[in-house]
Amino acid sequence: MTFQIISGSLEQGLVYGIMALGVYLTFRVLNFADLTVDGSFPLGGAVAAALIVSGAPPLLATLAALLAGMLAGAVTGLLYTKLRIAGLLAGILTMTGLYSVNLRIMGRANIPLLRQETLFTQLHDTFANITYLDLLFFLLLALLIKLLLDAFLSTDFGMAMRATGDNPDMIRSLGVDTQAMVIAGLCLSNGLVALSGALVAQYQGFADAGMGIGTIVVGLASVIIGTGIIRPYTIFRATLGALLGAVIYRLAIFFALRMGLAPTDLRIMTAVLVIGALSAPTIKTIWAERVRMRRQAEENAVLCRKGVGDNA
Amino acid sequence: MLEIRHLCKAFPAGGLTPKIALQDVNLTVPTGSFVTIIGSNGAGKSTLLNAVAGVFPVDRGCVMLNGKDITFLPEHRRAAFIGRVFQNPLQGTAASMTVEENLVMAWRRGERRGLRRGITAGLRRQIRDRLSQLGLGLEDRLHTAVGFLSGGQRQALTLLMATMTRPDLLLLDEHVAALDPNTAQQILYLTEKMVAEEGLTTLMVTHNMEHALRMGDTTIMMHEGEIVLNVKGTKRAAMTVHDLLNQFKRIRGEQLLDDRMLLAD
Repeated sequence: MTFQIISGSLEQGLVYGIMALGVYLTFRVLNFADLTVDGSFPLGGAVAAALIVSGAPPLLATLAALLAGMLAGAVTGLLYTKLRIAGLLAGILTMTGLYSVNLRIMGRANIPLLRQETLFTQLHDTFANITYLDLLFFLLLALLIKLLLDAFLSTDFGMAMRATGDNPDMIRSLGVDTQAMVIAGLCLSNGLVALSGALVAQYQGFADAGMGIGTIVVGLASVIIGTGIIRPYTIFRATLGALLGAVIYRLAIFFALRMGLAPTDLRIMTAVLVIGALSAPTIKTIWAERVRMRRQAEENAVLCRKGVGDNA
Repeated sequence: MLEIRHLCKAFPAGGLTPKIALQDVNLTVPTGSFVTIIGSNGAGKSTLLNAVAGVFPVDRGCVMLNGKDITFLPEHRRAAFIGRVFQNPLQGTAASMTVEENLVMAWRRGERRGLRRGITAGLRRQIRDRLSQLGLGLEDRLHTAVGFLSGGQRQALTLLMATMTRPDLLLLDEHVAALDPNTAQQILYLTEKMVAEEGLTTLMVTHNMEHALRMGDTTIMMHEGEIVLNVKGTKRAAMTVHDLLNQFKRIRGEQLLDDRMLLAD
């Protein structure tokens, strides 16, 4: 098997890795399971595609997608902090609303970008003689965003955001508006998710209203796989893990498909993967406790029976 | 100076009548004064501290700090000039972040948090100096996540974080109640040292009557949302735990008597 065959999976892994970095920010840093992602990912695709079709420069369209994603995150943040709607529900509400918004933006369910000028056509025009150009582009972009995120999380603002996810009482008692931090975190996260969506749409050559379904689970799977591979002792390692997790997830899918898995079964596989990873610690403790109790019972057969016999 | 005027607060209870937690509380704490607060469970001690910190809005009255009315200021804005140590040692620090990061966040108390690098070499030096004053060896564990420290170490850290920027007011809410006696002594010693060094205006809630009399310069007793005793100076100096207990029984007894008379009416 040549490298060329898996390079597509690597590219996908890296571009979805940008989305995974966004999910890392909410899920791990803010401790907030944000389902907005399933709406903000196609939102990014929709905004970018609609703008490109109407003649906007691809870079501008991509940046507009990022801003739109941030706006979507702000909506979830406001629902959660100001209107006190539970976090999960706030995300679901925004996601549901975004489905209509995305269709409005696109005007139909699918926008093909085949004969349009996109970031990738421009890229190939400029650097025509580089092999694996897309892969190189995604690698550099994903790493750049990862490093920027690392730097952000070690600023005063970023540390306050991490503390908000860790212990809101504490950081509030140090003068930080934790509500503002949650809103800012959701903005940033969904901005990255929408950016990822905009890149995916241009990369695959179309935006589709249904392209967001299951995005959050893929993001969670990436973050969780990443944690399994690289222990997240530092921010640097944690974000690297999220990126690597996204790539490994794509490679796993690639091999699963090659081994004859039906593409329609992918989502259940992903769901099972996430369930397995999330429940592993619990199952491990239950199992260890069972083993310990069985050993105790054997020991008691000797230890306690003897005492009972003496008294009788 | 902290001035509390006619402060009232009731919490909705299960029934029709809300639970009255603070009832027309008046208290003046001069700058640099250290007030200890005692009272039985549900007397309103923690509610008073939380009301001053701005955890919830109060129903009536006002809180003034150094002449400024802070009654309607949200909690995070007041935090710029109020340091707090909670009863739960886990509540005052971020467990997943390092000792250094926690201290830097406290260093920036009340400041706008921008996009400059949080930890600089200069700041690290200052933090190491401050930590070494605790005498716990934490200055060598700057990069340890706080979650790996003991409750006592975390409480010492919280105390340092609450005092290092010299806040106008320090609130201590039974901050040694969850610690073992030895560690509690150590934290109390550090508390007295830091308060004295910085001349901090302090309110300390405690269940320990001996601590209440021995520490600080003023002792107040709360009962059913009211301040029922306020002693300082020579009168306080002559007081024993026994006297305090008797006072407490007498006040409670009077109240019982009042209730009985009301019912008989």
